[in-house]
Amino acid sequence: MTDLALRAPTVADRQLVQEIIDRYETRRPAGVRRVDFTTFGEDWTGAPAVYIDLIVDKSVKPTMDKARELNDFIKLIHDDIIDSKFEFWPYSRTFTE
Amino acid sequence: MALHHDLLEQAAHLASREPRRPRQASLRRAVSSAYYAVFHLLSAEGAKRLSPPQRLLRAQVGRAFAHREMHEVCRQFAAGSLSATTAALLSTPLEYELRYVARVFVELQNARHAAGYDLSANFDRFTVFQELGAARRAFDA
Repeated sequence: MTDLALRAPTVADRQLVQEIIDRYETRRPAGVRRVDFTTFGEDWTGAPAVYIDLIVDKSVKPTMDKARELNDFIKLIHDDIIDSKFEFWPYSRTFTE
Repeated sequence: MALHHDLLEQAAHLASREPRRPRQASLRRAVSSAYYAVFHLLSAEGAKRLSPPQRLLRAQVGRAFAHREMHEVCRQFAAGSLSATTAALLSTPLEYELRYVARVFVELQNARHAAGYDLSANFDRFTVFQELGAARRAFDA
């Protein structure tokens, strides 16, 4: 069983995630309109999680190459969050609009 | 071909079915297959290292791998911070590639759970291609 207790995110938690997202703003792949993190919650095991949403322009064609590019980008953000020993584990989702 | 390779191939097939209007069932099962491909890859590799070479024993060791426990250990590996119990099992430093595979496992497992049970989630091909791409990279690591 996980021993990570779920707690409400603080202002500092939100700032940390936002700072990391902002750090990679200039490296966003073409077609990425913005990066949001609206959801602090839990993963399927009940452990604390932060969901980072990649909003991609609907004109971008979904291909494996583009998916790889998005993965490389989101990995930068995830790695920074994980390396900062943040209590909320980063997960990402991609939406088009 | 080993089960994990077949599952990865199945995930690719399901992700690309219905080229114009993919069905949620196909996309969700693609995510699930991608997860199980990595799960069985790790189980097979783990069993190979932990068990005697007899095929039957190896299969039994492989069956001992459980999803939730693997999730917890993979989180430790991905973060590079091992509990004393896990650290005691290792004789070499954590390699970057192994940390990456562990991270992919944690992410895929959560995605699989959503794909299987979260009916409010809407899966699109981008997300599925990303999960498939991550699984493929874990195989190559």
